[in-house]
Formats: sequence, C-alpha cells, structure tokens
Amino acid sequence: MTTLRGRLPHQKEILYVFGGVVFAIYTWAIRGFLYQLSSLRLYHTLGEIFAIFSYLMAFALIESLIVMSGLVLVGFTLPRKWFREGFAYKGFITTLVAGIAMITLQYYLFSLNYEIPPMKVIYLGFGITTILLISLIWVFQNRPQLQKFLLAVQERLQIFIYFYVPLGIVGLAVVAFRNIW
Amino acid sequence: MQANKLLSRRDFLKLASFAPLTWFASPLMQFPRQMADVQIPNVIVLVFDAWSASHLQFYGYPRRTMPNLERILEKATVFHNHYAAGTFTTAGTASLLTGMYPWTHRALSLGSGGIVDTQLDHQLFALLSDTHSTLAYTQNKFADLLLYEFTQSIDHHLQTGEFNLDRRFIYNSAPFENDTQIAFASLENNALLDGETRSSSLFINSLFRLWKMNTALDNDHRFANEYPLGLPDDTEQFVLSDVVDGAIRTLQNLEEPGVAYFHFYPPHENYRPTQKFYHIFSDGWQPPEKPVHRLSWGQFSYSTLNQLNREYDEYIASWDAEVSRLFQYLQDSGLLDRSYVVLTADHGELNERGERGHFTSMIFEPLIHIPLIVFQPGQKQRKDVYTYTSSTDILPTLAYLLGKPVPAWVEGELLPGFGGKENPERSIYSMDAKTNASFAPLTQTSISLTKNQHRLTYYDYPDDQQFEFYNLEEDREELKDLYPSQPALARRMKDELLQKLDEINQAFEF
Repeated sequence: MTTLRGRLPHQKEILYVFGGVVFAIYTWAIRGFLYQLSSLRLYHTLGEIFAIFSYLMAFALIESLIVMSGLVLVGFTLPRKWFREGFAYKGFITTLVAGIAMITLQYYLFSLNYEIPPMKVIYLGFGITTILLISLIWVFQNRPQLQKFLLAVQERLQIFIYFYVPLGIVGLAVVAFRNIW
Repeated sequence: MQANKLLSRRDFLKLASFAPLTWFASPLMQFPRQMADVQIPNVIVLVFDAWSASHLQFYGYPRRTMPNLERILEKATVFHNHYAAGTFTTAGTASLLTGMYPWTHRALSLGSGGIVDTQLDHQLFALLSDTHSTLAYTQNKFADLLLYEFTQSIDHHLQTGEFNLDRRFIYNSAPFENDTQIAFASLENNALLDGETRSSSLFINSLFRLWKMNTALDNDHRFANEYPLGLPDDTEQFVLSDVVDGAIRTLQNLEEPGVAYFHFYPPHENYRPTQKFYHIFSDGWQPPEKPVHRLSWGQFSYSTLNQLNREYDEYIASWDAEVSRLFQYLQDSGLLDRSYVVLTADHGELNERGERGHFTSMIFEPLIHIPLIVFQPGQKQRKDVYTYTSSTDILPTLAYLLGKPVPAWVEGELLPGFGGKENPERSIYSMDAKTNASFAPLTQTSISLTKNQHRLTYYDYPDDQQFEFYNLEEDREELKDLYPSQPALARRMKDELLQKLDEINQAFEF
C-alpha cells in the first residue's frame, strides 16, 4: 500500500494541476453555454436555461475528474523522472497542450461538415501534439525560472477550484433531482 | 341474527372455496369487451422523413422511384395536393400529431424547444388513448423529443435505436428518461454535439466524436457490398431491412385496437442507396435549372444538386424495395382490413435553387408537397383526391373516423372523402420560423398561402421582406414569380395572409 501511495504524485501537486484542469474545462464549458445562450432564450424558459447550465456544470465536473484521474494514472504508471517528478508543472503543461490540441481538433472536425477525417491527419495531429508536449516539458525541466512562473500561475488558478467545483456539485444535484423526481 | 341463519360460517367457507374459480372467470368477463373492441379499427400512421411528393411517379415525377408502393395504391385514397404545415421535422411532425399549425403549437425550432405546455394534451395519442392502446416509434431524434413530450399518453414508446445497429444517444438513455428535453439540449446539442465548434466539452467531445467516427467507418466497411455510399444514419447507423423487420415484429404484437405511429428516417439525408439501386437513375434526365434563391445558404451548383437528386431518388427506390415487405405484412396479416393506415411525411426535400435538404428558409413545392395515402378498412378501389389538404387535417379526420368528436382546438379540417367536402377556396398554410422565438410574435418567418392553384409566399425577415407569387397550375416548377405584376389574386391573397399573421400575433399583445 505504501509502495502504491509512493507512486502517486504528491497531494499538493495534484491540487495544483487540478486547479489548471478545472479552470480550462469549466471556462470552455461556460464559453460554450454563453455561445448558445442567445439561441436558448428563444425556445426555453429561464428555469430550463438554468437546468441546461446545471447539466453543463455537472458534465464539466465529471470531465475534470476524468482528466485529472488520467494525469494521475500517467504519473502512477510512468517512471518517476518522466512525469511524477515535477508533476505540478508537467501536469499543467500537459493539460494546456492537450486542451489546445482538442480545440484545434474540434475546429477541424467542424470544417469537415460531418465528413469523417482521414486517419492520417488525426495521427499527424497526435504526433505533433506529443512532440510539442515532450519539447515543452524538456524546456521547462531545464529552466527553473519558467517552472517557478508556471507554479505561480497555478497557485492563482487554485481559487477556481473553490468556485467551479461547488458549481459542478450543485449542477449534479439539480440533474439528479430532475431525473429522480 | 337473521343473517347468521341464512349464511352460517360453514356455508361461508363452502362458498369461499369457489373463490379461485373467479381467476378463470376473469378472461370470460373480458370477452364481451374484446368482442366490442374488435369493431374498433386500429390506426397505423407511417411517416417517412423528408419524403417529397415531387419525387414520386404517381404524383407526376418522370423517374419511377416507388414501384412497390404504387402497386398497393389500387386499394387506397391518394391525395394529390397535400401540404406539410412545417418545413422540417419538429414543426412538421408536431403539426401532424396535433392538428395545429406551428404558430399555435409553437414547436418552431429544430431541437428541444418543443410544443408549448398549454398544448401538450392536444395530440393524437391523448385523443385516442381511452379506446386504443398507443405505440410510438421514431428514428428521428427531433421527432423523438416530441414523443417524449407526449409520454403520458403513450403506452409503448420504442427508443430511436430500437432497430438500429448501435445506440449512441444519451438523452433517451435510462438515467435521463424523465428529463429528455433538457438532457438533449445539454448533452446531444451541446457537450456531445456533432459537427460544430461550440461544444462546451473540452476533452470528451472530440474523443467521443472520434470514437463514433471510427465505429461508423467500421460499420460502413462491414456493409460496403450492400451500401456503396455507406450506411444510412441519424447519428445512429441502421440497415433498412432491420428497421422494416423491427416494425413488422412490433406490429405483430400490437394490442388491438391500437394506435401505432412509426416515423422512419429514410429517405432523409444522407442519401444511402443500396447496391441494387445505386446508379439506377443515371439516365441522363435532368430537372429544369432554377436560379439560385437569395435565401439559399448553401449556394450549391446545379450539377451538385442534380447528383443529390439522383441519389435521393435511388435512396427512395431502395427504401421502397424494403418497406414493401411492411405493406405486404399489413395485407397478409389482415391488419390492412381492420385498420386505417395513413402513409405520409413530416415535410419534403428540396435540392434546387442553390439549396440542399430542408434546413432552409425557402418555401417551394418539393419542400412542402408531401404524399398522403389513406387505406380504409376493406377498401377495394383506388380514389384520387385533388383538392388542397394540409397535414393538420389528419388528426381531426382520424377522430371523426373513430366516432369521436372533432376537438375544438384543431386547426385542420376533415379530409375530403373522409367526412370532409372538397373546398377549392380553402387556404393552406406552410411555414418556417426557426429563428423566431417560441414565446414571441412571428417577426422572422417564411409563410406560404396555397389556394386556387396559386401560392403566395411571404419572406418576413428584418433584412428581407418580400412576396413571391406562383401559378401552380401552369408553372408547377415555380419558375416565374408573378408578384411584380401584381395580379388581383395576389393582392387578395396578400391581404388574407397579412390578416392571418395579425391574428396570430394578436395573442402576444398585452
């Protein structure tokens, strides 16, 4: 058990990364909600719009937990020096790079207008993202000043955990309430 | 005390020993009711999505797209000028099932807005549920959302994916069945949205879509010999024969007398003809070229639209070959002899004037002219009706045929030959108001008035307010807009249309 726990990143570092994950996912979710808001208000009552927002917040909470679990799993599985050592900034960089890659992918899929993309483009995108991620981690690993800067940003982002996560919990409660009763 | 003498404890126990016999007697008690029920016909409504009358040979189309259906028309009533009240699934289906125009049921948008609460009990299933069992199935997610709104009146609501290859929708999965409208708006139409940039999910959306695409590709490869352009799908993929088999199995278990509503996705886009029918209409025939309309969003070229029309026709022919087994089953099982069978569409399809499909503000014949074929129990001869009719007429007609009073809230009329009379002066409306708020007056809408062999269409948008007027008798292709010459009939119809709009919008004046 102790060995297993030893393979996990430090709790404080997990919290630092979680702040970044929550910030990225919730901000994107709220952006998506606001984008649709003008259309929603044409066909839904205020109560229904609140319910839709609750669903999105609940979804964002689940998504944040899944992404965070994935990062912890990577830290748990890979050799210590690769990811677990410096988990806070490595996890944050991974979140940012993967997030940007996913936004690019969303835009790309949109541009295809429902057509299925050629798999080689997907593999190429995956390859570029991986190379970019490894390069950035390597650069930050060798620049303690950059690490400090990132950690300072992460420290400030933690405030979003105390704001967004309760929103997600309230959202989950609303979803449960609407579907059970 | 006297009672004790008449019925002693011993007598009571003797009598009680006969109590189990009542279990056997129960079916006998129901027998007279069943005998009575046998006299009540079933109602079977078959809806083909985006099925335009303008592409069927028995409405004058040069390609013979549905030979199998044509054969059984000899025992049916065929309506030649039947029009959809809405131009896309939500509005069109809602009008069909409520007998009301979109301006009343207010299901104006494509999605989860739905019918307004005050009109939710005004629909086919509620109307017939006291005498009939009710069963509903649709492959179309937008029509399915409407069925969920009527859920209190539907005994058996089959899921969209019931006969599909896979199930990918989340809104109608078990956890969200009590809240499908909001689950759809939040999940399918936002977080897990297909094909748009505005998904609110940063990671799961793209991964989910890639997974869906991958399984879709696998399925397409698996059926490549049968479906050269890929499998038909509405997010969930399906095989035409599976859907027909599923419908037949469902009808085999229909509790009679019953109402069965089947809303099939074919021949809706994407057009996926089977191998047998692929390229059968590469015959060189071309429809007349029509100028690109100012409201066309797609601006597709004439040759692209021709190819789409060819594939649409081939897909209709593929569907005809499969769905003919359903018609055969209705005949062989005797269901056709003890049911009113209504065959129609929610709206048509338009591949012309630079536009494809039906997600458009334009209103033209291929988009609103839909088939209506009614089979009466025991009908032996074909009848043809040429008067203008509306999709809002189906509900009142069924009510009338089943001996129920026609509800006061209905906006349609009885179909000619089914209690109604031919009325050449009748006004038929079709409309689209996707961008108009459900709770507000109609200020952004396309609305057409068809009567006296003419059509007046009013495009009423903040930056585009125009009328178009066509003579349908001489110019069925609607190529010559007569409005600029201001004929007297156009002026009269304009007054009537504007007065109707005023009436509709008066309900929103405070």
